[in-house]
Amino acid sequence: MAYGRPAGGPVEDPDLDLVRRAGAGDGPACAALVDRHLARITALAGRMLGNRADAEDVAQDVFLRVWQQAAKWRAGEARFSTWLHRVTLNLCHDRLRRRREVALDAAGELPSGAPPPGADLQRAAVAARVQAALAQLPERQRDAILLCHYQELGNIEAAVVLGVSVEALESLLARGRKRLRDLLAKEASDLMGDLR
Amino acid sequence: MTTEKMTLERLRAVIESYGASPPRWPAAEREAAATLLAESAAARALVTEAAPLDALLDAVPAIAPTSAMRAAILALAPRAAQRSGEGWRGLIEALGGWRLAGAVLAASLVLGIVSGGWLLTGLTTESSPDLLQLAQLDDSVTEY
Repeated sequence: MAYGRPAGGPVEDPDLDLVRRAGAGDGPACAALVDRHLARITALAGRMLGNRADAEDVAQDVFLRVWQQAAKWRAGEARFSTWLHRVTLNLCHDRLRRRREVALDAAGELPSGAPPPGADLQRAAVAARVQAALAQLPERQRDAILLCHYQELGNIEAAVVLGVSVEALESLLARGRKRLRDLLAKEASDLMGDLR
Repeated sequence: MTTEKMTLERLRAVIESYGASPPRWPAAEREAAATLLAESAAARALVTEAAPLDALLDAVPAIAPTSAMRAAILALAPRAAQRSGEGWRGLIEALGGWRLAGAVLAASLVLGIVSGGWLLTGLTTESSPDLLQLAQLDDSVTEY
């Protein structure tokens, strides 16, 4: 579990007590840990992979690893949430690599098909287009945007998850956002109109 | 939290990286950025320019976990190690505690003795030849 950390001594971790209790088999602590993190992890996996089934599989795999690691968790090396995001990204990357290996049509894997029942059709179409653009970003740029924009991690924690400096994170973010603007420029005004 | 003034160029770099929403900006620079935004129309224009991409990103919905998924995850959660004798204690508690459990076990013992005795009295060689034949069937086979 060596994910680095910013200088300045041991990391304060708001999840530490819950992780320790979960590792000792404390049911309410396990439930509290799941309730605190499951939604964010599922959302991250969903935006990485573009569909519910894969997002749920990854979220369950992530928590399986949590249950395996909880009893062995060592405080001060990394925040639990940092490790959780790193594991989620790794599992998502594995899936995306497997998809490429079996030569699936990338567009078929994106949520560009029928929007969910009852959803606003135009908004769903915009979401599909944006998600397709995100999928076209280089992996590190996409990861940086997912962590900072959607997961709302602070810049220091996001940099630790990615194993880079804060300056490198900012470079990834700026390049990723510029690429997104270019990808979406053609339809940007239409897309913005659909959101209004 | 820094008290240093932020330059327009630094604000531009922050917005190009983190977008138009101040809560996503580096915590150490938010206060200086807010000061610059209050003073500079050019700074506010940078925010206005970056806002549409944020809005597009926000259009991608989050997939929410289901309760079935939560239950499946918790079903695999670690359990506290079972202490020795816990099984017996659980059984006794299920039977209503020590006093009730004692009575239930005693009643079971008496019932077992009575029913065993009743079965033996009804079982004679004359009244149940079929049972005896069945019991001896294996012996006859091995003899021949």
